[in-house]
Amino acid sequence: MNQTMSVLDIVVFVLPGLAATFSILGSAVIVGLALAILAGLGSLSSQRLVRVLCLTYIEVFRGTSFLVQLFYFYYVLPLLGVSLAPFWVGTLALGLNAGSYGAELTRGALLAVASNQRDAIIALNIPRVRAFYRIILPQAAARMILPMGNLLLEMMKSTPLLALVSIADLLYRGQMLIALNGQAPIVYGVLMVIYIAFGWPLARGVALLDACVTRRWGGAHV
Amino acid sequence: MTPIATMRDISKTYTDVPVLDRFNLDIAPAEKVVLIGPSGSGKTTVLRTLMTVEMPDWGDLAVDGVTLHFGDRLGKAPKTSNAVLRAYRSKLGMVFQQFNLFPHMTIEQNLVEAPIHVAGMRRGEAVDLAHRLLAQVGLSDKVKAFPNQLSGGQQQRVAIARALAMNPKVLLFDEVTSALDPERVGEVLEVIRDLSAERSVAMLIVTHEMGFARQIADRTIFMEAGRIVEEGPPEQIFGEAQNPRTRAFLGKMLHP
Repeated sequence: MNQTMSVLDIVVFVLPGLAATFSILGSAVIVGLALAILAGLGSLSSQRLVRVLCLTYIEVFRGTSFLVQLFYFYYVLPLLGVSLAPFWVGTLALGLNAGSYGAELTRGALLAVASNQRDAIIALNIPRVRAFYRIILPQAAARMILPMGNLLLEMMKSTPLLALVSIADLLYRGQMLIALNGQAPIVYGVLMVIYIAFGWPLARGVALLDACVTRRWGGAHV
Repeated sequence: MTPIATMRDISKTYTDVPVLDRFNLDIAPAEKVVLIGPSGSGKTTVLRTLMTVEMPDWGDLAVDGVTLHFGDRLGKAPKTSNAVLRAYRSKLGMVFQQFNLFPHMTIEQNLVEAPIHVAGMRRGEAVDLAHRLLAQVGLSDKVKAFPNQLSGGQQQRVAIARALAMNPKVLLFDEVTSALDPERVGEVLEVIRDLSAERSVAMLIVTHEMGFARQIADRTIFMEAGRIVEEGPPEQIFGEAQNPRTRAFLGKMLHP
């Protein structure tokens, strides 16, 4: 194919990679968010076993390298008899990793609310379960908007690592193109523009949402 | 007369520092009791343990016929059932130094939350009640506002209305004007004065506003180091205190 490609051609060629990147990112966000909330709550449980399990998960996945986790899922699990499709390897690795960070955010946000609101909850005699989802959780969620937004951005920026386990994401498609045709500066340039085109609006959207909540509820949630 | 609330031998220790040591207090129905004393004397802890925001280590609490036992130094009492604890707390209301409104709810939502979900009131009824109480504290126009759109004084008046909505037998006020700008103190004190004139609710008030204390109290208690040093009608405490420590404290408060 050895001929100069236009920017449009390059974009068209890497586009399937964009689909792979975002389908994995999307499913990893679901896995990660569920884990973040469950493990975050669990780490504050009064049940010792639940607490220990959740804290162990958080520390293991936060304390080891994402790349090693990814390789583990890709190369080691098949040796143990568990063969996953590349899509699921990416989803699990990314979701479990982000979930551990998210759990710490959830835990911190819940702890940050509890102090003086807890006094009012007791004085008004509001039942525990109701108090949790009507008073503590919404305020914790407001505190989590910014850090969770950052985490989402980090996740997106981690997706190129998936190319290393032969998931045909954006970077993978780009490198394919470079191997065929050269033009590295322009291909990598296009990739960067694509990442920014998604990352920047995402960051702005998160900041706007946070500002909106702050205006409504006041600095009290910070 | 049978007291509406009693604290019997209440002890509370924070990380090895005893704050209350066998503290006793009776409050008569509709009585207005004011606690004064230097900071660290345990006044706030009296309120917080009575409300069970903090659980006492030992002693007994009783309000309007519901009793909580915490045992004594010889042994802990069996754990109080949730139902009894909730019945006990339903007799009390508390207003805090930092207002503690729910920042993500409108003023109306703040006021109807407990009446609906604790007292089981119908929504329409609870909203009517909320509007009546807000009118009473002079904030009818703030129904749909969020707490952060209100001044400190207004937030504190909402917090008082919120506590009243549960129709408590005893209302606890924990330094409710200490976090306010000086020009906002008066409006909150006025609301409490009006309440005490209109309602038969008993009040236990911790304050550093000596003029207000003198005016509103049926009984004034001077506390130091977790104990009652002297108590009596306000004329007596403020006019002719017997104990030299009471006189020293009041001297500093009244003529700084």
